[in-house]
Amino acid sequence: MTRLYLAAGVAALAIATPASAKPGEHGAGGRGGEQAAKTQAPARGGGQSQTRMQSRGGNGNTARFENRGGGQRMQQGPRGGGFQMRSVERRPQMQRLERQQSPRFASVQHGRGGNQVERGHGGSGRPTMVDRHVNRAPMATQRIEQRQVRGLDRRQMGAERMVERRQLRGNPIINGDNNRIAVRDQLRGGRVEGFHDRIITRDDLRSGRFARLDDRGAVGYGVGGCPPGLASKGCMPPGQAAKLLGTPLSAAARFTALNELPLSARYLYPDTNDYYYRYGDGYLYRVDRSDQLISALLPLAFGGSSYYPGSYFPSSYMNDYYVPDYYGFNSFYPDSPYGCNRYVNGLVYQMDCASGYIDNVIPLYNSGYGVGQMLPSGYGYYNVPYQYRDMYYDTSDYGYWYAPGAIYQYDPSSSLITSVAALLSPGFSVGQRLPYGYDAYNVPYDYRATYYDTPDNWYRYNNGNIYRVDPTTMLVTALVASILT
Amino acid sequence: MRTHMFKLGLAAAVLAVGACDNKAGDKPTNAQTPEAQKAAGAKTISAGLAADSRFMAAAKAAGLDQTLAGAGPYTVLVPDDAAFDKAPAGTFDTKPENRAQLTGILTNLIIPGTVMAADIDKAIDRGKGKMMLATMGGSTLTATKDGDKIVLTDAKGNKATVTKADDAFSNGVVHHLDSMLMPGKAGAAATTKAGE
Repeated sequence: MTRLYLAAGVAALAIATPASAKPGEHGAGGRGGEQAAKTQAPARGGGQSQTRMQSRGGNGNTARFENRGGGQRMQQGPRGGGFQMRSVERRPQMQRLERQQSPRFASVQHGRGGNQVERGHGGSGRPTMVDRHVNRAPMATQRIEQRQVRGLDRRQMGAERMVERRQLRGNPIINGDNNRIAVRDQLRGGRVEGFHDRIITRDDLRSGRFARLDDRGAVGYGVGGCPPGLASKGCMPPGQAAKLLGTPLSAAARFTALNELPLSARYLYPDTNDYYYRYGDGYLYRVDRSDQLISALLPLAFGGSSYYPGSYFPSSYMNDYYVPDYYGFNSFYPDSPYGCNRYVNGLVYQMDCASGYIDNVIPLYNSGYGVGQMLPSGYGYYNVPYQYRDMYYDTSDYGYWYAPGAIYQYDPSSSLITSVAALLSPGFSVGQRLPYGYDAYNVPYDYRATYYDTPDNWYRYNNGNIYRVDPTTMLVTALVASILT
Repeated sequence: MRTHMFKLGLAAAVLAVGACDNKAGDKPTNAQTPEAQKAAGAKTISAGLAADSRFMAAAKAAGLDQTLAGAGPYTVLVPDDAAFDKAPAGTFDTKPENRAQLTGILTNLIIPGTVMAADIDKAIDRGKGKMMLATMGGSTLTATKDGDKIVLTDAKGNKATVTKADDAFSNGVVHHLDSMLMPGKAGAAATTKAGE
């Protein structure tokens, strides 16, 4: 009897949730929920988390997926959840691959389909977990499948995948420029196929998660419109971004998820009675309150360079513009078999050595980079110098990151640099010559009684440490004290 | 049951909105952890300089006011308000788009460690009339003497006289200047070609 009540309750909820969705706005989502209610609720028997999934069907996520995939697939999918729709979504691609005459692939696909159905009806008490499992399994299978057919027509597949990915993200192909970048990225990906595939898959999953968060109004950036791998960096080319000036904010919202600045960074870009700010895709948009048009655009990443990730570094610069040794920049950004670094006007460009394809652009502090900008992608790990670690440690609210010149405090949710915690100078090391500009004694007050200059020894302070220097040779002979630890 | 769920949802939404309202989003966050504040001491450069001075306004716009509340120690060269007024219009605009320029200028006025006027004097004597000071921004300033006063010259040849030296704080020292010093182009690490 209790079971009957439970089942009835869940069925009622399943019907009620889509019905309570806003009419018109998420109509498709409502239908998704309805579909789930019809097909799924009776089959599964109920449970709290099932209700959760059905309510997802009504909150707009399903609308997003249905728009891309079409109603037919909705019927195939036994669940209303976003992840499920994503995995179903991949079928058109597989059908295309099938047309490329790959019998092995066809058989794998058959197996996968069966697997999915079987799991779909598994009736687990923790559907969220099941979602993930089901989602991963086809993805893994698909990776194998993609490798199997890769030899057929790599370029064509790349282009198709690009279109597919754009469809998944619900973003129209904007113009030739963007298209070209994405295709270029695909071609590049072809050189490191296996790795790239993994990235794409991970990226799809990740952006799916961001998209879902976004629908709930949480902070997320770099969603949609980006070639894979650039999604979290902010990928809109400057030329494209400039076209958004003078347009309504909704025009920019077509390309990326726009969010309010996190609380910790709002003081850097304060709203006024005349305008307010939104950010997304590596740019900050200033919106005029009087006409709701974008009146200014500030690049938050790449130092506003005209060479951005996805473009090519001029080959004529390759042999000239090495990263300087000042501040230890060249050891922080070294050349390696995996990539080259070049430096032009305060910006470090990380690129493929052979082609000059730019992976990342990192502005340096001495060129005015810092507060209010985005942390360079790929550098969000904790790397604060040892002597400062007791002082600057990551918390749930803030992270700390070191780059030559400064220790930055940043907001982990947005990657925006909120403050400079400490300024650092180029470090000394024992055995090197005392750098230019340290003629004057500079030891902190509390240590002056112990470490004072004599004809035989000088003492100089640098980045938390006190060093001894031989005044005759001007060589740094020892690290004598660390004042921070 | 539906009504009950609706009420619960409504309560959660009200709570969430209330929580948002309680947070002060317009105040700068302190970049210094409790440990760093302890190391910096009670009377930091950031707290000690006049909050309404042009220097502190620019430092705040560049996010450096919180840096100067840190452990340091730093030697800070602070041009007086009149020096700021002499700069071309817009140089010290506190708008976000000017933040990079402000950062470049201000870090050129910050020197690592605690350098007292007497230390500069000694180095000038040792250097036969002049000495170099490396700044956090990557430029170098040249110090010379004009009578009893220390004169600093930047990479562009601008000169500033130290009008009040050795203003001591718990995390460093401040020297006041009568004129503005500017950085070289993108600091010392401007575009470097091979072999340079």
